[in-house]
Amino acid sequence: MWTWFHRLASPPSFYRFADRLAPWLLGLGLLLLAVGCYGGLFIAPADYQQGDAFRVIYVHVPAAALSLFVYVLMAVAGAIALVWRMKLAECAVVAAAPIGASFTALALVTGMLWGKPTWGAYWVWDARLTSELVLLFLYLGVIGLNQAYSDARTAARACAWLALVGVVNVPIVHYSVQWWNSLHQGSTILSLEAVRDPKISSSMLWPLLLTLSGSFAFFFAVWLRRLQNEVVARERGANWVRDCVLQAPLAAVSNEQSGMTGPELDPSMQSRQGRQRHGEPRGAD
Amino acid sequence: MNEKYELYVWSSYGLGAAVLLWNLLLPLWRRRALLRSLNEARDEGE
Repeated sequence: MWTWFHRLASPPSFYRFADRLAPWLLGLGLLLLAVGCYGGLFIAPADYQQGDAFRVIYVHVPAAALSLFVYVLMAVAGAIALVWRMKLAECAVVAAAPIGASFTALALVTGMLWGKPTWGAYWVWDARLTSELVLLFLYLGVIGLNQAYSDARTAARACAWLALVGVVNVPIVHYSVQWWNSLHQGSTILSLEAVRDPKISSSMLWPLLLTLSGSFAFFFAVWLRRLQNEVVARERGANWVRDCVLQAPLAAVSNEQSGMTGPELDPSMQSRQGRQRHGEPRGAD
Repeated sequence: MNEKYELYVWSSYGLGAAVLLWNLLLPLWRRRALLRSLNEARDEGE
């Protein structure tokens, strides 16, 4: 088992492993999300108090759960990166931040869209909402730090520190509804109490469980893809990149270049790649 | 669905779909750009 993990930490092994796993996770995630959303929109009955407004739960809760989970994941990867100086863990922090930020923003905006019909206001400076907003700023901080350094490893270590320090906000977000008076409702499913005594009818619960599991599968799929990109960008000079990465897709990219049918390079990407060709060590966005 | 809530509910699902799409496409575009730059670097080296 440990040998397998140890082998997985090497970039070529990880690249091949991610290549095999990501499509399955993506397919599973999209399928679960499609069925869950259909169930949430058309099959689950309307709530007796909130009416159809409660259907936002099927987008809001998975996004909020992911926003917390991804930050904890970044903190764990950050600790591994700082203690064992593992390159893959450094990449994991950097690759997870934009995904986490997007789901945190989604949780905030869908929360606002749910808040307006139920509370009568899009935003209140409530403990849950404010701590979730702080979480978004922490994610943006990690993304900004990663962009601020020209050396990828220094940037990743700075990001790891911020992920570790910022993880203190995660229990604050989660327990804010218990610690302070809050307009926001307590945990519906993500607590031991809720597991023992469900607060939601099973006819409303199953689509939520599907969208939750689908979102997590989707996250892991896109995280693996981003991780692959980070690893390749850092290891661009290595032999395994030429052997594993450039073998199959090279023909497709060459054809595309001659016809110029694919998407143009992002200007920031072009400038970074220009810098890299001129000997600067920065390898990843 | 009750018309009163339609806008809020559909906006949420629309935003959710947009976030999924953004997360799905961005790594793919980055990968293509990366492969193109690796390809160019290899051609320059040869």
